[in-house]
Formats: sequence, structure tokens, C-alpha cells
Amino acid sequence: MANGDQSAMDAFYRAYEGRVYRFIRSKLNDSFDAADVLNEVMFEVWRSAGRFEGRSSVSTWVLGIAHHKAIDRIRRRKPGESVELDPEIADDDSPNPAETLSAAQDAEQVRRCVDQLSEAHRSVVHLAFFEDLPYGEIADIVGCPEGTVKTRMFHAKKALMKCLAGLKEMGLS
Amino acid sequence: MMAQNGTRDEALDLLLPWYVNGTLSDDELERVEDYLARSTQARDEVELLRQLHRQVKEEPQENSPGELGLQRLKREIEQAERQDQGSGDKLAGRTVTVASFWRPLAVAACLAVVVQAGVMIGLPGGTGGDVEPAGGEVALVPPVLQVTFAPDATEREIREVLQSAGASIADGPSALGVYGLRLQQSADGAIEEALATLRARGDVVTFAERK
Repeated sequence: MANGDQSAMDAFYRAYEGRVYRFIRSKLNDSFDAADVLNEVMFEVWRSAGRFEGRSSVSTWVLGIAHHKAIDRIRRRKPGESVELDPEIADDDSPNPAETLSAAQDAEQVRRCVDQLSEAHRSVVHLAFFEDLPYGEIADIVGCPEGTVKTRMFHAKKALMKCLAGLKEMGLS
Repeated sequence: MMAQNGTRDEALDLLLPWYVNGTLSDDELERVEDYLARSTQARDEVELLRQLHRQVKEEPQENSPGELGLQRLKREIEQAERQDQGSGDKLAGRTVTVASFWRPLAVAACLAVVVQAGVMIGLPGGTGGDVEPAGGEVALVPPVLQVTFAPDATEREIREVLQSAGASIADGPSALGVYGLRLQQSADGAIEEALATLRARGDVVTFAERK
């Protein structure tokens, strides 16, 4: 592909398109924007394939490009607003895990609560639970220290527990 | 902080999601398993995380753009190639393909040889003193311009254009034959002046933009 081989690009696209699209979609919560950004990512892959040095896996490299392109898109569609990189989930009054377990068995409620997470938290949840990636690789993709990835996941889990408990209280689960 | 009799260990709590997705190192896995054996709360949390993991994994995914997306990408690549190669080729009505990738690479290799020869000629009797480029010291600054060269441009033409623009090749060629250029001076005015010089030689430089 680095030599401009179009058939290699086709094969690459078919191999990674689904994963990359789902990751972008999880960040943007918008199908049209996600399709646009996927196109930007693949175009960037085509242009910069020659600069890929193999220091990370191909999937880490392409998901890293996707992360940055998605952040750019968020910034463009919300001019003046900063992207929430490491939002605080301040209060520590999260419900007990055992109390929220029954709510977590309802797929629809889990999806609704995941959608309510910040972009940064959704990304980490997606990469850890959908892609099953180790925290070190997630840190490479989103460009932050490993400790930050762990903290984001911790806060995301608390936010999910709180959301699920809230839905349970409202009798929605 | 170690967990004793069911108390929490914050450092190990942070690892629980990766215990659930099965990506911990052997050492981490051992410590987490030991923790789980001691802490009921940690076990409850793992149960919840497993449930969340399952739900996220099983969530129905909407269709990705698939082949339509690939067709769109191909159109945009073709368009970009035409733009990259376009302006200079208008003169001769040539069609440039990605296969021309090797030509700029060969030109770059020739340039490297020429520059090296220039340096060697400039050496005072080969005494082994410090080697400096004949044109003086070039600061190692990042490339600020990107260019493509006409497929039939000769090494001599490329050298002349680069010298008149005060530019040198810093990186490339990319998959599309794009080179990065650095300038001896990086002030805004100097960049614009170099761009104008490069663009004035449309027979040699087919595309020139800021990086």
C-alpha cells in the first residue's frame, strides 16, 4: 500500500473498515459523521502508509488515526467548545455493584447508559469491552498515559452504575 | 493499599476491567486473583463488569458503509492524485499513475548522490575535518512545504528549482509521490517566496503547498 498499490488498499479497507467505523461511531454517536470520518481515516492511511514504522500494531495505528480524526470532527461541529478529555465524575456515591447487576442484564438500559457517557469514557469502554484491548494499547490509541486510561475506565464504570441504578429506581429496568 | 478482609485495593480495582477482558499480564493476573479471593466487593464488581462486557459485545451494530464506502474512498483518491499531479501535466497532457512512485524515488536517490558529491568536493583535501554542506550549515528544521515533481523532470531541473527556492528535500516520497521540503529560512515571508518560486516552474514542480 505504501507503494500506491490500490488492491492492497482495497484489502486493508475490507479488513479494518468495520472495526474502525464502530470505534468512530461509538465516539461520535452519529452515523453520517462516522461514515465521513471513516473515509477521512482511510484516506489518511492511504497517504501515510509509507510512514508507518511498525512500532505499534496496524490496528493500534489505524484506531489512533481514527481517534484523532473523530476528535477533530467533534471540535468542528462544536466550535468554541473544548473536547472533554478527562471529565470528572465527582461524587463517590455510586451504588453497590450487586445492586446494579440486575439492571445491567437489560441490554437496552446498558446501551442507553453507555450513550450517556462522555466521548472519552465511551472510547475507553468500547476499546476495552468491544475490542478487548489491553490498557497499554488503548493508551497508545487515545494518546494518553496508561494511568489515565485506567482512571477513565473507573469513572466510566461508576457513571454506568449510577445510570443503571437510576433507571432501576425509575422502574425502567 | 492492600486489601484485607474484604477491604478495597484501589490499584487493583483499576485493573478489574482488564481482568474481565483477559488482557492482564501474568503478574497482574496473579495479584488480581489473590485480591478476588479476599474481597467480596471486588468479586461483585467483577460480576457486574462481566455483565457490562457481555452487553457491549453483544450490542447489535449498525451496518458500516462497506463497499459503498470503498467506492467513495477510491473516487477521492483518484481525485487527489489528479490534483497532486495535475497542474504541471496540463502542459503536456500526460497521465500520471501511482506507478510513477519509483521515478521520484530515483530522482531523490540521484539528488542524494549529487549532494554527497558536492560535500566531498568541498572537503579541504580530505583531511577528515568537520564536514559541512557546501552551501553552509542547514538547520535541521521540519519540512514546511510539500511538492510533487513532473515525471519527466531531470535531476538537474529539480536541483535548480530547489536551489532557487532555498529548499532541500526533507522527507518523502509518500505513496502519492509527495516530498516534504525544508527551507533555509522558515519565516512566513520566506515560505511564500519559496512557494512562488516553486510554482513558477510548473514544468518541474506539479504541486506545491504548505505542509
